[in-house]
Amino acid sequence: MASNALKPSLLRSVAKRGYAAQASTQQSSFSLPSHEPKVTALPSGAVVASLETNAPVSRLAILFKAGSRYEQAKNLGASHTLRACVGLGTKNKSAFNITRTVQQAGGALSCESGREHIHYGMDIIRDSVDTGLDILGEVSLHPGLKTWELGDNLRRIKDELATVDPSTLAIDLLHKASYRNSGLGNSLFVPNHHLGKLAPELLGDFHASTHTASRMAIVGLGVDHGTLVSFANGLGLSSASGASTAATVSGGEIRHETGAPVTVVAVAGPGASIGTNDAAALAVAQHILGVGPGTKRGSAASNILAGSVAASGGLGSASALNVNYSDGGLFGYFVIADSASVGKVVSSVHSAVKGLKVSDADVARAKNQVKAAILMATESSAAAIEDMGLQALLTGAYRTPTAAAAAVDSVTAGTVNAALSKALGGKLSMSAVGSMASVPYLDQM
Amino acid sequence: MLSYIGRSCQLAPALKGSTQAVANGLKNVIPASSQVRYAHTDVQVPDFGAYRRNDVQDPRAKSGDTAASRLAFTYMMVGGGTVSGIYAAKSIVTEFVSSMSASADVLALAKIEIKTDEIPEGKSVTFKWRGKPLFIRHRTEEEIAKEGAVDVGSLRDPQADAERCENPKWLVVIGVCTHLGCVPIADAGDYGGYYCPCHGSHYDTAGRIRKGPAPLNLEIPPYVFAEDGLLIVG
Repeated sequence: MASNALKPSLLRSVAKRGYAAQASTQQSSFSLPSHEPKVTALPSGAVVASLETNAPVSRLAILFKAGSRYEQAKNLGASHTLRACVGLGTKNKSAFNITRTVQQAGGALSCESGREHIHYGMDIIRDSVDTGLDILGEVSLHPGLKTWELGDNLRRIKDELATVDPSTLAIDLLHKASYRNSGLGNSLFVPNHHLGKLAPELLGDFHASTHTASRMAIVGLGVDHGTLVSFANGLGLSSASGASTAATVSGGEIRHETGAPVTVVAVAGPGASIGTNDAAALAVAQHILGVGPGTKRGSAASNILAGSVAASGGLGSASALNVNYSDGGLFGYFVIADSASVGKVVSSVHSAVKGLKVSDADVARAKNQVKAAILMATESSAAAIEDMGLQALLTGAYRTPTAAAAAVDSVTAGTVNAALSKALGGKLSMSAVGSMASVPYLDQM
Repeated sequence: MLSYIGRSCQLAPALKGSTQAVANGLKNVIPASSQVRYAHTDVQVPDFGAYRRNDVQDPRAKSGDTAASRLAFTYMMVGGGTVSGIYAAKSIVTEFVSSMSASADVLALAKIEIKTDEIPEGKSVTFKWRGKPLFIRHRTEEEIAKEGAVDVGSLRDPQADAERCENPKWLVVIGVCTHLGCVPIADAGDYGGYYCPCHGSHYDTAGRIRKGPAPLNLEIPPYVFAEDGLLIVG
């Protein structure tokens, strides 16, 4: 070999010195092409959205309008059970096959379910996107729902139920109180009386009625748009659209006594639905009230709610609560406090929120915070694909974080005050988890 | 649009449930709410105090101070155990091996003592030794001279007379014909020694085969002249 001649150190150093004397080659600057997001609405009703990010890892997701709001009384908990069953055997592949195939391709398979959606996600090396789509389609569209696998999987569901933290429970109960006549009031989690009782046929019916083309969105980051479109076209799903109930807010109150030393209280009125102007205004209002520390391990001492907690003399923390759904939402506040002083903390926070009148300076500051929150949240590709999927699923379109941030610019103090009075002037709902002794009732506040 | 504003706040995890079906290193934060960590406070740490030496029970004592005595005890136990183990093994092996040798009653019959004075010259006397007949012949000078003069080369089983008789006066042979095991008759046959009546084998007075079908000379047992007038066979 020629390189062997250079092995002796004397020769090598001579050669290096020779290179050093040479003029360095001119590096031509090169940057990867940047792409715009692409959205295609298929005739079947499915929406395909993708963004080429030039990343070596592709993120793929299939979303269905199959969250807990589409459950009926007979199949409450079906969406949770379907989510927990991801990774088990399907009609054409065994659980072992799925696990080994994904691992061999260096991928990760996950599933998330909210009140409106189920999100089947796959992170995979760009070269193996076809494998990833194959598995993703199989997992989401053809679950096996074998009796024995469902039985074995009960432990996982029980573990999950056992580790539901009080905050999650409080927000679950807040939805139950607010949307008492609507599907949005259904819990994210399978109720105890359905634990292990949901038959495969019942789950199969729920799956068939919700996993249809018209209720589907397929999204991808770092993937070719054409690949996703042809994948979506090849699925051969029916376009039937299942039933759903309107999100009507009715006031209510649910208190859950656990005797815990820390009590969680959530209070909310009717909020804004996704994509409306009210949503932008309430997002600004949320940041005016406070969303927790803006810096890592910070104290968030400067916002309005933190001030009111301090003024009450109690021990706790409070933040604004703003949840948006496709046709409704909740806006209010969320308090975690020492059980002994929760009464005065909640009363103080409640009066601060009710009496909130925002100024232009507040709005200007909060608009920056909202824009930063939007842009920073989408820095991680996990959050970015969740956002893209939810937009495609619930609105049928996709607006980039930059465009969304620009929409906040039109918010003024007047629109914020109007949105706030609409939200807090409506029927309020309340949920509380912990020690109820000193927690006030809604009509006492 | 704006779908994530509500989700980007600190309450986002409370608005959804997550399941990680297949995980890999790409996920820096696994949002799996099904991940459970148990604090196993009910597991008892085993106490081996009952098995530990008293010298090292106290955590504040220096173990180096008692090392010599502990080592001495260990070495003594190991050394003593090794020695007694080897001795026990040797006894067992000896016991088994000796079980294969002859028993005492057999050994008692293994030897006979004969008083040579009682055998007159020129006579062959028969004894019983280890279940077989034993011929003891007190040879005359004449017989000794005759057998010593035989040409060894002409014999079927060539043995000189001196080889067969330690003391030329005494011939000690087992009285079993080497042909088929009959008991020869003394003082008979063509050579004046022994004659087997079964198939006509003739032995001379040195017990050598001279004629007939037998292939070998009569067998000579181990014997010794212990003292004057006493012959011990066996």
